[in-house]
Order: sequence, then structure tokens, then C-alpha cells
Amino acid sequence: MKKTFFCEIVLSLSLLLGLSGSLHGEIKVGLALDKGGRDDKSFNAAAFLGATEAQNKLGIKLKTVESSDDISLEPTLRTFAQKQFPLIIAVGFVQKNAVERVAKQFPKAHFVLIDATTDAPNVRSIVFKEHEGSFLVGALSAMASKTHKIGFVGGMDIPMIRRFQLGFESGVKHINPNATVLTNYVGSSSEAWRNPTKAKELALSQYNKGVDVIFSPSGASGLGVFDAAEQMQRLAVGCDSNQNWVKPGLVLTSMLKKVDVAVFKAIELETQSKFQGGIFDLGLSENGVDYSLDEFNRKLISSEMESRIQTIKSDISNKKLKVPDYYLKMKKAKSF
Amino acid sequence: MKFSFSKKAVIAPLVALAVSASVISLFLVCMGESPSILVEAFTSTFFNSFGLGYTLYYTTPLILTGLSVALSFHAGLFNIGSEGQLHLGAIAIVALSCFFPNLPSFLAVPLGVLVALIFGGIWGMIAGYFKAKRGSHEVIVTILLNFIGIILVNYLILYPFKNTEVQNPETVEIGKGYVLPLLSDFTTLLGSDFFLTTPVNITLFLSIIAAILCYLFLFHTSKGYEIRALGQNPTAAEFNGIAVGANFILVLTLSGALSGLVGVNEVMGYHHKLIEGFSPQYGFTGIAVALIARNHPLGIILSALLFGAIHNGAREIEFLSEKMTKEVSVIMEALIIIIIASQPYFVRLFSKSKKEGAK
Amino acid sequence: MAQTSPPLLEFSKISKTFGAVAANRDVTFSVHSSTIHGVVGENGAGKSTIMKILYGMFEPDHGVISLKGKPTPIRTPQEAISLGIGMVHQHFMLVPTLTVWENIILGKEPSLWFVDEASVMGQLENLKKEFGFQVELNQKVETLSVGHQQQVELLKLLFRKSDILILDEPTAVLSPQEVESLFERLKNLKKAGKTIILITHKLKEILNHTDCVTIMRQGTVVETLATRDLSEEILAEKMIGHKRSPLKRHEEAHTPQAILQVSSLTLKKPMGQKLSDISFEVNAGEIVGIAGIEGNGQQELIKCLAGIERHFDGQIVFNNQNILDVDSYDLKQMGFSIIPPDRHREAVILPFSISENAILGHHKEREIRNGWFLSGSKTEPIVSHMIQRFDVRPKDPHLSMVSLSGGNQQKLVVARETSRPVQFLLAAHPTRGIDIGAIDFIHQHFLELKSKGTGILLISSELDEILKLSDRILVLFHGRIVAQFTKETANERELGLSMTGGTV
Repeated sequence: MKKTFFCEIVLSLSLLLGLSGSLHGEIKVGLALDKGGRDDKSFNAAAFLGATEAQNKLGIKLKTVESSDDISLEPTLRTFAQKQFPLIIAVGFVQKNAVERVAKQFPKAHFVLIDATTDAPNVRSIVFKEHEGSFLVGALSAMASKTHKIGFVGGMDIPMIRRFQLGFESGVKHINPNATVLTNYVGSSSEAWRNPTKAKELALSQYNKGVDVIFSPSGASGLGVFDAAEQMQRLAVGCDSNQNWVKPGLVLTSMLKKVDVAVFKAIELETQSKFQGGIFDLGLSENGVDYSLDEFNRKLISSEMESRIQTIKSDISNKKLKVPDYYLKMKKAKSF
Repeated sequence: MKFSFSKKAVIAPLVALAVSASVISLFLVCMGESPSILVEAFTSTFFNSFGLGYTLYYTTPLILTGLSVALSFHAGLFNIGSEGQLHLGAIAIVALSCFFPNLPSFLAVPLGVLVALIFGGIWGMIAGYFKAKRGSHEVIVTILLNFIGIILVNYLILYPFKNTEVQNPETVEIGKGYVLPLLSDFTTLLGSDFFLTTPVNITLFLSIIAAILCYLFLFHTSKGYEIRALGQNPTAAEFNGIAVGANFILVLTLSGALSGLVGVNEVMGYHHKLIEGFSPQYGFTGIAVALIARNHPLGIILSALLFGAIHNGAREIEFLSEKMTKEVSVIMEALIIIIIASQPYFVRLFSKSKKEGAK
Repeated sequence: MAQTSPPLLEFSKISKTFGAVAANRDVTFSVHSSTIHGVVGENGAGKSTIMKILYGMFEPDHGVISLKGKPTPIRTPQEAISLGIGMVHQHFMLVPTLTVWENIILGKEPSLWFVDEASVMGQLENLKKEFGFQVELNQKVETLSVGHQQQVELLKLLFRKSDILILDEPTAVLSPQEVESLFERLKNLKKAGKTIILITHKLKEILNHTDCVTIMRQGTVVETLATRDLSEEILAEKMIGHKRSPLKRHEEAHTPQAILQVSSLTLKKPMGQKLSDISFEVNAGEIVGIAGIEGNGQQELIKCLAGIERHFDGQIVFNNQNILDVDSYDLKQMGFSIIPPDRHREAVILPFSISENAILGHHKEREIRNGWFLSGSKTEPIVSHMIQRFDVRPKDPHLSMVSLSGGNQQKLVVARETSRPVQFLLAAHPTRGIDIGAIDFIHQHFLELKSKGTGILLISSELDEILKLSDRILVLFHGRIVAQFTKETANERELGLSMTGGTV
């Protein structure tokens, strides 16, 4: 009785080993998304898009795992490493600690960390100059606004979103120094990334105060802002992914964080055995951030607006126009 | 005074496990995947160092919250407040370390454990006080205290103790002296790499000791006797000179203290800081752990191991399967609870059909 | 005429075992129609089991029940009801928040959608008139007295057209007057052709009100007899299997030294019976009985004495000490013992073992501890001494309390409360629901305690018990002491009168 049971285990194990053997030849890529999940139509969705594109074009074997809570991130990364995935992509700054710890214990594995930086040599840290992209959509919002009141609904109140906020405000003021920007945050805990109900309430109250464009870098919560825009028939600005299609005609533009491009690139390098660690800070000049223009918002942006934005874009790229960076401001404040 | 495991107490959870595993296999087959995934997930949660390490890491807090619920249950109280109590215990350690960051280990470790006990205990004691002196129902009070406790602790994480260097909602790191050794630290000393890279730490032994102490307390001391008498028949206890109110306060305080120890595992044992949302509802899972073990402190070690394995195995299932996510663990836990709770019905059904068969 | 026709109901060779215990063994007897048939036996004799088999609650292992000469299997209570068998359980099965008539039609609603209230009421009014029921049909059940609730149960059976009525210990909760009217009504029912099976352990009820009686002992039928051939002594002897020995009285050692003094005890409460201005004392070596119909303040008086109700006016002094100044655990150790009125709710912990129950209330004592731990080896001799001396059966101290019969449970309670030096004993309903052997044993033990100088306050609803043991008798009515008797002046008639508020 006992013996047969043992045999069964051995048999099934060897069967499974055989199965996993067939996977050889393809590079296994692990994608660990944070709380937002692949359907947040925003940041995680962008990473997922890049990775699936790589799966289709580069013939890699992709495994995506979403995390329902922050503390399961680390075991997820660890399991990827344990299962000898050569490339592991961790999306979201919440994974910073986890990547640091796991990368140290698995020096042979390659990691990509999106939105946060670490010094480990086997980690490719990718961050974006959110303030530059935010400046662009801020400028566009100011051009589109008739009430000269513009809204900002941030997700979680953290330095990164403050960076969005500062860039956005500077963009607005650059076009119209007299415009006012109303600012609210969804919350200060990580629930703030997926609380569209509260984001909608905040957006509604801003619209009721006369705001006619709202920018909302808030992960999945941003969907609530779009709902509010539809209800009030006012404008909203998307974030991270191109969200123009979510409510066509109501989304003025989207501030693009080209996570998909960065993820694809990292996977491509891995397939060519050209993985590179280090910190990559992607701004306008590196084509890491941008604003979106497609058939869904074509009618909202006049050719005059478009040309003004193009000038601003090249000015920023040429360093003729300096966009204030919240991180630098913080650093300065600390050193004083 | 003897309390031994009955055969039924062991068989029932095993049957429940088998049934729920079959249901999950059925799901897998319906989704066009191989049910052998379950076998593989099971083997990799127990039979390798990495899986076992994580299983034991999840087992640790579940033993403590299971004991917390069970202890109250023996006094006839339903402590739903474990989740809030463990939050308080955890933040207390961070607070202590913020005030005394440079304490040497021999002071920091016992003091850290002590404040976790005390603050978890206070949170339980509040519920005990309202139950004893005001007659408020402990279920309602502990539920409300959960809300207050968790929000309070999140506030403390996000403001006074926040690590402003990072974007994550988490506190600053605790002092070096507070850090407890991992089990892999010991295996490394012995030249083995068992448990390497897993977070299981010596709090596991602390929780097992807690279970043994709970067992001795409940079944071999006169105070424990009083508590059980109170739980089984409060009126008879009162007629025999057992103080009802004082014992309610004592029991909920002890329960709270046990939950508070979860903070030791999370803060001193592994993360070395407190992260917002650090508990995947250990407190509520503790209710199920206690239920399966029929509130026996030693049985709780086993049932916590079962739930720890399910929690850990669910991640394996997610990795092995294309379509299942680790929420499958919630289904599995729920099935086990339903089956155990409806056990009397199944027993009756079974014995009836047996009798019928004999005829 | 009943004797010539075949019996209405026949039990033949019915056996039923639970685990290793044979609750019924080859039970055979028959019941004739239009009679009141008594079933007597001590607790655990199997009389409830056989009735539950008849009512379809248990399935017999062997044996057959025949109705009107035809073997009839009865598998569920629903089947029993449809065969015209009805049962009034000891604990009533009524919904307190519904009215009387709603309770009566419950489970037998004439129509699924619409209740024709007028026709139901008409039928019920007729039944009321025919058999002399006094309940108001529109009243809520929760507002009714126990006696009236029992009438509702009976009406329910009649409404369902039951011909065989099983009554399980119907008089346990009734006042003497209510008992009288119950039997009056049962006689009317018998005249109307109903058959009544009366389960009881009270011998007087059997002798005064039944036509036939089946005596059961240890799961078997001893004999089925016509009642007119019986006397109380013979009945008791057949029930317990041996002759009853008369109580041994000890020499009176009267030293009028007050152990317990209650003065001007007054309890005010928004709900329930309050106590007003109760004063009495209990001397060493004296048994003071408190007679009264239940619900006249006994429960409140017990709670005040036990220190559970602490918000009263007046004083209770034990050995010159106000009991409220002493911790209730310590009070016990000082020789203040209590046998609570409700055994299962207040005296024992059923899921605990015998040995665990035996130390309840003394569990902190040094002599059974090893440091912080309770010592099994130190407890064992004490517990087995109790078991030996009080003849508690079965004798295994590790068995669960549930496995003991009521009488043995109560013996253990009495043993626990009296095995240490006792100065004062509050004995509330000490022999309720237990068998004759155990009653005699406990009574004898009380007399022994008395001879050793213990003062006993005996609260009981059984007048016989009060009269047999007490030196003085106080009558409690509506929370007051309305009369006092001495052993010499007390008689049943006068006591009964003052219990219902009449003056002598």
C-alpha cells in the first residue's frame, strides 16, 4: 500500500519533470505586477502590454503573476528565482525592497525593476521623468480649459505623485500664469491605487467647483475620474497608458509613461544575451514619456495646440526649458 | 482532566482536505488543466526546503492567532479582534525601536516581545472590560476594535513612524538589536543550505512554546480550569465562586497578547519594519484554524500548518497553472471550513447508510 | 367493555440500544382505548425511550408496535401525528411570540395561502367549551403561565384530532391547583374516547388518576397492572426492585445558635418577582424549609444567598460576617455550601468529567495542586472517596458527566457540597427529577449533616419533602414570607392554602 503510493509520487514527479523539460529553448520571463493588476488600464496594463508583445514577437515564455497584497510580492519574486526564470520583471515601486533582497540572494538571475532604483548589478532599474510628461499634459490642459480652473487627483500621497503634481502645475502656469490648480489625493495607503469610488467623489467635487479638466495619476482609481468626467461631460487626462479610448471625446490626452517600450526592450536585450544592469532614467529626450494623440482625441486638440506643444517638447529636450523636479526640490530642502 | 485527540478529530480535517482538493481538481479539469498541478503544489510546499520554509513562516502567525481565538473560545467568548490586536502588537515593537534604536540584543529582544504582548493584550483587555463591566457583546466590540486598531496603526505607519526615504507605505527599520535570527542562519552554521532564502525564523519556536503553555494553562492549572468551566457553563461557574467578569477580562487580555506576538514574527523576525497591510488577514484565518483544531492548543499547531501550507501552496498553484490564481486558497479554506462545520450532518448520513447497509 | 375488545396499542418485544446501553429490552405491554394508562419508573428506566419510539423519534432495533391489532411501523413524528398519536413534551414546543391560535395551527395550517381564521377559531372555541380549557386564543404565548401553555399544547393535539395523547411528566411545573384541573380535564378527555398515556415518577398521580399502570425498571417492563390493585408501598417496591428503608432519625442536638441571619432582605427589580422584607434565621443543627409555588421569589432568594445578585437592601449574615464582604469563592471554603436549583444549568458542567465536576468550587485548594498545576494524583483519592461514599455510578471518575443519570449527577453535587465541613447548606430543589433511591439517600444524608450541626435551608416545591425533613417551615408567596409553621403545627392542607395566598 505504502509502496504503491510512493511509486505514484515518483511517477507523477517524473512526468512533471518531463513536461517542464519541453519548455527548454524558450526564455522564461516572469512578470510580477503589483496591486493594480493587469486590468488597471494604466501602469500595470502598460507593462503587461510590453511583455505580451515580447511573447508574440520574440517567442519567450511569459508567466504573469498579480499580487493581491503587498507582502506576497517577495515570495512571488523568490519563487520565480527559485524556478530559475532568467529574467524577472517587477512592476511598481512597492517591489523595491523585495527586488533588493531577492536579487542579492540570486545573483545569477536578471531583474527589471520599474519605477524604483537599486544598485544591485543584476537589476535593471527603470525610472521615468514623470515631471516632464506631466508638464506637457499640464500645458495642454491649460490650453483646453475655459474656466481656467484645472484639477489634479493624485493616487497615493507619495513623493512620486508629488513629482507628477509639480510638473503638471508648472505646465499649467507656463501657458496661463493666472490659472488655478485644485489638488486632491485619494489616500495615503496603498488602497489609494484602487479606490475608483473615492477618486470619483473627489473629481465630482472638483468639477462642481468649476474645474473643467482633471489629470489623475492614480492607477486603477483613475477610472473613477473618467466616470465623473462622463457624468459631468467635462474633460479628463489619462495617465501611464494611452487611455484616450476609455471615454472617447472626454479624455483630452494621456500622459504616457512608456513602460511597455521599456519592458519590451529589456526582454529583447535578454534574448540577445545583452542584459545590462544599472539605472535608466527615461525622459522626453529618451522617448520615455510623452503625451498621446490618436483618433479618439484628435478633435479635442487643435493644430495650434499641437504646434505649441511640439515647441515645448523640443525646448525641454534641448534643455532650453527646465521643468522643476520634486525629487531635486526635496533633496535641496534636506541639504539646507 | 485528560484530554486526548480523538480519532474523529484527526480524520475530519483530513476528509475535508481530500474533498476540497477534489473540488479544486475538478475546477482544474474544467479549465482544461492537469490536476497533477495539485500534487506538485503539495510536494513543493512540504518536500523542499524553500516550500517548507515558507509554509512554516505562514504557520507561525496562524498558530498565534489560532491560539488567541481558541483561548477565548474556551471561556465562551468569540474573539474576532485578533486582526486588530496583532496590528497593535506589531506597531508597539516599531515604536519601542524608534525610542531606543540602539539597545543590545539581550535587552531589545525580550523587551520587543514584551511590548508586543502588552499592546496586543491591552487591545484585548478593552474588549474584556466592556464585556465584563458593561455587558457589551464581545463580537461587536472586537469587530469595532479591529477597525479602530487597524486604522490607528496605518496612521502610525504613514505618519509618525514613516520611512520618508521610500515611496512605500512602511515604517523605518528597527534597530539591529531587535532582529531575530532566521532558521536558515542556524542551518548555515551547520553547513547546510536548508531553509536558505526563506523567512521562517525563531518565532516559530516561540509560537509552538506558546501553544504548549496554552495547553498546560487550560488543562492543568486551576485558572485554566476556571476558564473552561466558565466557557462550558457560566451559571454553574458563578454558583461555584468563579468570578465571571474578572476572568473575561483576563482571557481577552491573554488572547490579545497572543495575537500581539504575530508582530514579533513579522517585524523582528522578517521584515524588520512594518509595512502597511502586512497581515493577509492572519487574525480571521485564525478563527478557522481554531475551528479545525476544535480549540485544542496542540491541535492548533497542526491546523495552522495545514492553513499555512494552503496559503503557500496557492502561490505554487498560480505558478503551475495558466488560469488559476492564488485566490484558490480562499476557496479551499472555505470548503474545509464548510465541510468541518457541517460534519455532524455527514456523520449522521454516514452512520445511517452504514446501518442500512448492515440490514 | 374496553377489556373485551383488542387493545388499541400494543408494544411487543421492543428493544433499543444506544451504544452499549440497552435503553429498552423486550418491552411488551398494551394500552386499551379510552383509558388513562400510567407509565412509571425511575429516571433511566426507559419510559421516555419507549414513548419516543411510539412517537417516531427513535427507530427500535427490534420489535413491533401494533395499532388496533395491525403492526404499524412509525418512522417519523409526522407519521405518528397522522396516525392520531400526539405528545406533550416536558419542555413545551411553542413559539413564544405567536398567539395561542397561531401556535395551534402551526405545522397544520389548513391552507397554504390563506388561513380561514373564523373557521379555525370556531373549531377551537368548540374544543375549549367541550373540555373546559380556559386559554384566550388571541393572547401571545409568552404572556401565558406555564399551566396555560400546557393547555395550548393539549389543544394543539386535539385540533390535530389525536386519539392517543402522550404526556411526559406533565405535572413537574404545575402548582397543586393546576395539577387538579389538569387531571379534571384528562378525565373529560377519557370520557370523550381519547386514550391518555401518562409518564410520571410521582406515585400519587398514578394511584389517584390512572386505570392501568406499566411499571418499568432498567429498560424492561416489570409488570402491567390495574391501578385499583395497588398501594403506594407496593408500587414503589416494584419500581426500585427492593423495599424502601425508612429514614433514620438521629437524636435532636438542639443548640439554638444562628448560623445564617437574613434581615429585611428586599430586592427591587423592574421585571420579575421582587422580594420584600424577608427576615429569618437558620440555626446550627436545624433544617428550615421554604415552601411555595415556584416563581414566588425562590429564584431571587437563592441568587441573593449565593452572592450572584448583589444589589439588594437588607443583610445576609453568615457566621457574623456580611456575605457581600467576602469573595464568593472564599465563602465556600468557609463552610457555606449551595446545591443550586437547576442541576444542569447551575450545578454541574456537563461536558466535564466526573472528576472535574467533583472539584468545582474547590479548584484552587492547596491540597489538589502541585504549585501552579492541578494534580491528578492528588485529586483522585478525594474524588474516589466521594464516589464511594455516595455510591455514584458508574464509578469511573474520567467519564463525562453526561454519562451519569440525573440521580447520580445530583449525588455527586451533594457529595461535592458536603464532603468538606459544612456550617450552612442551601439546598434548592435537591431531589428534583431523580429516582426514589437517590432521594432517600440524599434525605438521609441531610439528616446526618443536621445531627453534626449543619444548618440547612431547604427550598423545595415538593411539599412532601419539606414536611418530611423540616424543623420549621416558612411559606413564600409573592416575594414575602406569609406564614410560619413548626414541625408540629404543619399540615398539608394549611400549607397548601397559605402557598396560594389564602389565610388559615
